[in-house]
Amino acid sequence: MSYYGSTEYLANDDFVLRMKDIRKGNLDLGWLDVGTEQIEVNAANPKRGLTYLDLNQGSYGYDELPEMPRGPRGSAPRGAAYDVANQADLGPELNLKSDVWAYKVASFYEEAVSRQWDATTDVPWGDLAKHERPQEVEIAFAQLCTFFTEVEMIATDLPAKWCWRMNNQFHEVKGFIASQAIDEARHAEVFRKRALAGGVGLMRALPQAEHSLKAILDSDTYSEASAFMHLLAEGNILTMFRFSEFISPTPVDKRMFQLVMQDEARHVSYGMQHLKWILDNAPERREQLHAALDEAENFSLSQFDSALFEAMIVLAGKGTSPAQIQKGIEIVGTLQLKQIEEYFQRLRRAGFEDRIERSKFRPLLAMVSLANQDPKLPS
Amino acid sequence: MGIPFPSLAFFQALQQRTKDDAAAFEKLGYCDTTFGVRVGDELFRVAFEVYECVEVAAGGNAAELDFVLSAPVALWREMLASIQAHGGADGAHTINTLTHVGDVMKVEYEDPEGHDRFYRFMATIQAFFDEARTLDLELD
Amino acid sequence: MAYIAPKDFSQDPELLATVMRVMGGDLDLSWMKDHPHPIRAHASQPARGLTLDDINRDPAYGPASIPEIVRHNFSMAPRGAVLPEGLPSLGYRVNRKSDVWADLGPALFEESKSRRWAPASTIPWAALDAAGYGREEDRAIRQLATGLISMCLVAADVPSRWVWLMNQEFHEIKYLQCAHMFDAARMAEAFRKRALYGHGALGRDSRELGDFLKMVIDSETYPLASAATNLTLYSFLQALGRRLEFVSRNAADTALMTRIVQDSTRPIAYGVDHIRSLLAERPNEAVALGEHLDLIENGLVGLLGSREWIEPLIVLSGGNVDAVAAFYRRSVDEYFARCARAGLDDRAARSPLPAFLNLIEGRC
Ligand SMILES: [Fe+2]
Ligand SMILES: [Fe+2]
Repeated sequence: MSYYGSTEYLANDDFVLRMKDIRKGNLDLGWLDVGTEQIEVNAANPKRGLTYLDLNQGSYGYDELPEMPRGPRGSAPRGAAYDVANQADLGPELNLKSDVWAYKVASFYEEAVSRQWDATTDVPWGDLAKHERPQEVEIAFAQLCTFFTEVEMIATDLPAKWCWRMNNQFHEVKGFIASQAIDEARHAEVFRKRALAGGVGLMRALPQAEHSLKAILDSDTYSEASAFMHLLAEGNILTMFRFSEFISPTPVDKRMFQLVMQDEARHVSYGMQHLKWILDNAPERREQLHAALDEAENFSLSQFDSALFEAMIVLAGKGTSPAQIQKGIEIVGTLQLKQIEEYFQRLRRAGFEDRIERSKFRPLLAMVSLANQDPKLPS
Repeated sequence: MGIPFPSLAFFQALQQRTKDDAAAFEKLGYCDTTFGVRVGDELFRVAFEVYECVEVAAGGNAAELDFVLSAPVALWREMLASIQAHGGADGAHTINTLTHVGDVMKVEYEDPEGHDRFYRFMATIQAFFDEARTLDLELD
Repeated sequence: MAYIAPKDFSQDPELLATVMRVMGGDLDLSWMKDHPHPIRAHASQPARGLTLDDINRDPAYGPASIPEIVRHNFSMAPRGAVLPEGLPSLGYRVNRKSDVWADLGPALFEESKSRRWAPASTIPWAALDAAGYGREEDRAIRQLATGLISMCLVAADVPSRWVWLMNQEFHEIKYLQCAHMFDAARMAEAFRKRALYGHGALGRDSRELGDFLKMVIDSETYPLASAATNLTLYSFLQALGRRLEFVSRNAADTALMTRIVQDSTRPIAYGVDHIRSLLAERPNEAVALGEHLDLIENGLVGLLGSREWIEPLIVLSGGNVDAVAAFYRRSVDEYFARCARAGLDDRAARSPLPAFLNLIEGRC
């Protein structure tokens, strides 16, 4: 793989002549009038500033961007003048709007830029030592943080794997993905820091969870990967963050989870809106997504690494005595039901209600007594 | 005389705090959501736009809100007392903790996307309630 | 479907038995003993917060524990965790420390987070309303911004192209790649807003720019991509940011271009440190890097001479070609100095750039 262009410039007479001409002050200035649309752009809300939504006009906007943008394959930004035959073809693989687009993606991007935070300074690390916690609780918390450190980077690596293959026409999506990449790097960073600041350090990596991560990374298409990761996996993680804030042993940890939760909800929202966009605009892909989620759910089921679940039980019960374990099991059982319930709700919101009937979670729920605990599950 | 709770005056005072303490809210970033706070039988509507709280009102239609945080008066008072005692909610009284397990405080919603806004702007919403630390409240 | 689970777990009695055992209260808890490297990291400078360097001091967790050739872990398990049997390979293709590592990486990542800004609200866009540019100058800035959007989108694509192939042992460098992705996307956003604000329009795509960017992203290995992007592309992006800040007559362009200079300098710093460390470990790599940059710099010659790039710069210099030639020379000198600092000290002697400068300076 290598590309070194079509011209050796200094050996090219046209180029050398052009330079000599410019040297003499003879400018062509053809770029002054290229016939691109002129628009009037201002910040609709000065307090919010100038957003991508303000730029959503005419040939520059995303509303007018068709499902199949014909022509652009190079680096020209949407709305610029370019020569179809003479552009440097970057070889983008995701060229249909429905391959990547999501309702509200420009808003999600702006929100991400606006709500960046810093794991180094926005978590009051210095306060951690002020809060006593039983050693077994700290150990369980370190195991939980090891798990989060391990899984967070998939949500960087998977979107990154596809971002550079997206046509430049979809710069809002590319921007959102870049924001997700930095969000997830920050998540991996904050959980690593927490594990290493608490006295225990990193604990056991989780093989079953990692098979799921591998399945996400190896998904055949971006949209299948997104349904698996943004909607199902990050939806589960979001619920786990809520749980983790709930059982956090210190206010420092609560702060950490409040911050990561916000980012995670944005990623899940993108996934839900991307799925909805596909189902609305490329309904022929429904079966393909079903098949992908069949296996994604199967991987999710397999993810029952006992170290993780036991750690959650110890944290929820605040210890390892039989009574504490019993309490922990009740809370973790509720969490698992909540994960599935919220996943089903998001499927429904995305217009994928028929998925619920087909879900692999249903037989398992039916098999384990957990199913009896919550009558709210969609029938 | 302190500000009574629940009351529209209480939410108006919190709204003003998002302007007086603007830097703290700007640092947290955009927050665009209109949610409800149900105190016993009373519903209050709270609208955030860009960084600050732009509107509070009594009453309204819960179905038009992104989500509603609902709890008995006593629980809200307990949360506010914790905020006043600790300069911000202690671990047992953060809004996530109160709404997570056991449904002591309920999150009511029709649209899961509206519900996800609760998560997306959690730090701002927590900061909003934590501003009660600065108010002179009548909690009895 | 590229990766299929070995069984249908929804029908798996073994899984069900495990779930029932744990949820029935029969916990194993053996994992509780699996914490071989206890550590209580703290902030060495509380005002700076808890940095990556703070948590990296312990040899069990710091980068000193990464071998030059990573053979022990191809999973997502974080560096320093206990690795049980059965971890899958995630298929990483970049498994050699010197291919990616820069000691400056962790600090640059911290810096990128700390210096956050938002094009929507940080830049006082309304200051452009009374900026007082003439029509040609106004169009010239928008034309340059058009090209800069392309450049920054590809600058975001390069780390995206490589980060998912990098072994997790190099997590600080992966974090930094994510920061570069985000910073570049944010710069692309800012230039698009600059091009369209007010009575705005995008200009014309440049074939030469497109060709240059394609050369950069198609670099065959990560070190080649790093040199082409972080040393070459970012040096000239930074130089242009400095130039546009210099010609700015309003608060918006000044604020914007200052941010562009900051954000484009971090990748340069990483690139210099990365290539320097690589050449210290594997001096022979200088041959491939040198040949690659010879060809990349040919692409750069095309860009610097393209009408869509040089003509707006001349317009913004009041029609003074010499001023632009001097700006180019200074930018090239700075770039060569960085290459030399990175261990590539023969650029001036072999690069096509000096001949191009002579051409534009009217010396031949
Ligand atoms: Fe995350
Ligand atoms: Fe995420």
